[in-house]
Amino acid sequence: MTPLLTVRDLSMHFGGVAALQGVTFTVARGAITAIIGPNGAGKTTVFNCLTGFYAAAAGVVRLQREEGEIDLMRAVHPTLQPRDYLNPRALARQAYGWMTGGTHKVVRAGVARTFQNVRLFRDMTVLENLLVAQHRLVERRLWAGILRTREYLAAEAAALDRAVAWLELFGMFEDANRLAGELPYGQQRRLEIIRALCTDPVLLCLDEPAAGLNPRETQALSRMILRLRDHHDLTILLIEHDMNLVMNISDHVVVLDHGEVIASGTPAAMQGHPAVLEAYLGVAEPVDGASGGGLREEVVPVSSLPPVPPKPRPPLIIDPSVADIEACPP
Amino acid sequence: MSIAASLKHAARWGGLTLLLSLPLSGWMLNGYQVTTTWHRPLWLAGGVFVGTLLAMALARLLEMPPLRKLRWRMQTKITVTRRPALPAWEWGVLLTIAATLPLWLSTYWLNVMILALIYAVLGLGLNIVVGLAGLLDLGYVAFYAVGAYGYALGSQYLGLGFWTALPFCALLAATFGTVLGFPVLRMRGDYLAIVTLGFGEIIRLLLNNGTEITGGPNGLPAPAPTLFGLELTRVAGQGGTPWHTFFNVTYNPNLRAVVIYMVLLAFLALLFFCVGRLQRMPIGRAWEALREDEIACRSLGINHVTVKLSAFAMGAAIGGIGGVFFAAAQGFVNPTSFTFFESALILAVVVLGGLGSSGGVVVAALVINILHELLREFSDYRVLVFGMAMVVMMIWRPRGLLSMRRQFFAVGKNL
Repeated sequence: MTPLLTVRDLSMHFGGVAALQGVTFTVARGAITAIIGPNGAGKTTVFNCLTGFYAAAAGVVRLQREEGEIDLMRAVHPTLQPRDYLNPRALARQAYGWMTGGTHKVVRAGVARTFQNVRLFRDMTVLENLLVAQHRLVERRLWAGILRTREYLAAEAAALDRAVAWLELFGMFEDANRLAGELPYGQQRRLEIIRALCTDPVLLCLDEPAAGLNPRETQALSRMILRLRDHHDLTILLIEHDMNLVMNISDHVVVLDHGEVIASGTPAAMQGHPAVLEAYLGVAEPVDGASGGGLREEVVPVSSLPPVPPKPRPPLIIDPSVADIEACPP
Repeated sequence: MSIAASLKHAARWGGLTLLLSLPLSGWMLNGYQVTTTWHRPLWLAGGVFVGTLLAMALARLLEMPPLRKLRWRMQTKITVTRRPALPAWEWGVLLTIAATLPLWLSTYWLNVMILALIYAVLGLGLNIVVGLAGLLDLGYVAFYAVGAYGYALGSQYLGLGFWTALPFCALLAATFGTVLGFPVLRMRGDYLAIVTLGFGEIIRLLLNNGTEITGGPNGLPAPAPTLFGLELTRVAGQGGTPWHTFFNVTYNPNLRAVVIYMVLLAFLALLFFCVGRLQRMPIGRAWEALREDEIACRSLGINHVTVKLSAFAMGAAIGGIGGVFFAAAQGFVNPTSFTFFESALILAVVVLGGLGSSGGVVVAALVINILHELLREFSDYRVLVFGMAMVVMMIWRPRGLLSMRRQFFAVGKNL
């Protein structure tokens, strides 16, 4: 498969702490790529660098689109070449980029993202949240909006249609006019994904989409992500701690630890990969391996433990005069 | 509530009043002896009893179908409609009443109304910055001053008339707004408030100390507006024709105030309409989104810098126009009109009216200014009463007089 996103030698540091050291991976077009790793491994930092919230110290991030290749790092944080110091346009662009941060250019290039902690516009309705996301797609000229020209009304109607279509697909149609802040948590997470989709991206970056969801909601989410990949021509990059979700839906897994890619490959290959197990569990090999270091925990295989005898339990008696059996959920 | 329960409720309050008022007003000190006056506490208790009953009956009445709609409108809760706050004909009636006010108001009250409308304009401008974009601006009076001085200085040095000054000062103030916007782009909340406060003071001090240009504390005269090239003064300046000579009528000293009032009213109506549209436009939605979460905004492809600067510039331009009207109405500007207290008052108009609610801001501007005049009786305690009224307001209606209405869409399956 052709790569959609190529990340090469991405490095980033906060003061003296190296958050990312030469991170290299590719995201194949039309595939689901998962980034996993223990807490503090630098997963979210990768996202922040990709979407322009952080200026990476070094590295290349390239997005392949039909129109051509876009160098995201250069687009977001332009760097001056020596010959640009006499070019007023380049200087102006630099000054403008320095002021604006340029994250909006990433969205224009076709990358949308969600956040680890839900960031909705809580005092606005669900539909308004989705309309804000389509800011770059609607008619923004002041006079057109105040006079309500035909083009403006058509653009607004189209934006509403798009928003309603996504809501319908995610089963949130009935909540269209509710305030985003008053939705239950699972729906807020879903709304954040819909909002990212409304920016009309080619690459959707999800930062821990299953955090805080119950198993049923996680199931629905994974079905949804698969559907986006299969029917909506989207490429998905996700960070996740829920290994079930990652193993079930992803096509490719990148494992990060201490800001470095320690392994990457198919989910099945990652499950037994020694480096991955070491990062997660602190052991080099899954079972009774000859560990090299002295600090590693002794892992006893479950099968070698003596069986625990079942505790005798008191019999469960329901007094029909006390218990309200009808009221219990099945 | 049933009738018996209502009676009981009213009786309880009446009894409580009786109990309290007996020692307070039941005994009267008369020379060296105390006389008991039973009728006063009894009247009081009776009044409370009847009043409670009436209030409860009114509440009951408002529950009834024909009046429920009215109560609905009085509630501050967000309602699920797309219906405009008032239908078109009600707007017409309101505007007509407002336009006929100069016919029967005295000059004094007409000037109060002009000031109230200026505050409404300023409130609508600040509402964009504070209510929609969520940028707490404590130096808004700076743009007001820029507008007023822009007109006074422009007429003195450049010969600008009132009508050219309106767009000119709007642009000038918008430029100032953008200039202020740049350094505060990365600030929020308290820090932003302090910086804008400083900006307001800088402008005032510049006006106060730039004696050669601005006249310092002595201020500057600002000419009266002209109407189709005709002057509204008793004696025209060089080359001008006064209105009353041209039409051969007797001179009416009120005319200046009346003209300013009418122009101001028309401008306010236009502004109200435009701000209402702006709120529902992409730019208005982006302002609100910026208030809610700047980072999320950036992740959705909104250029937060231009959006923020546009809020500052738009608010400042409206403030500048307010300043031009102020200078034209007063006929004179000096720095004491642009102190921090003015900023606080405009902010009070916005908060009291309801952040983000244009209708609320206009109502609050009228209430505050008229209250301010009515309270002149209590000269010394005016600000105290004013402050207490505000505290009570904020407890009673924490989201403002008329809280903001969200835009709801009638989405049906067969859309």
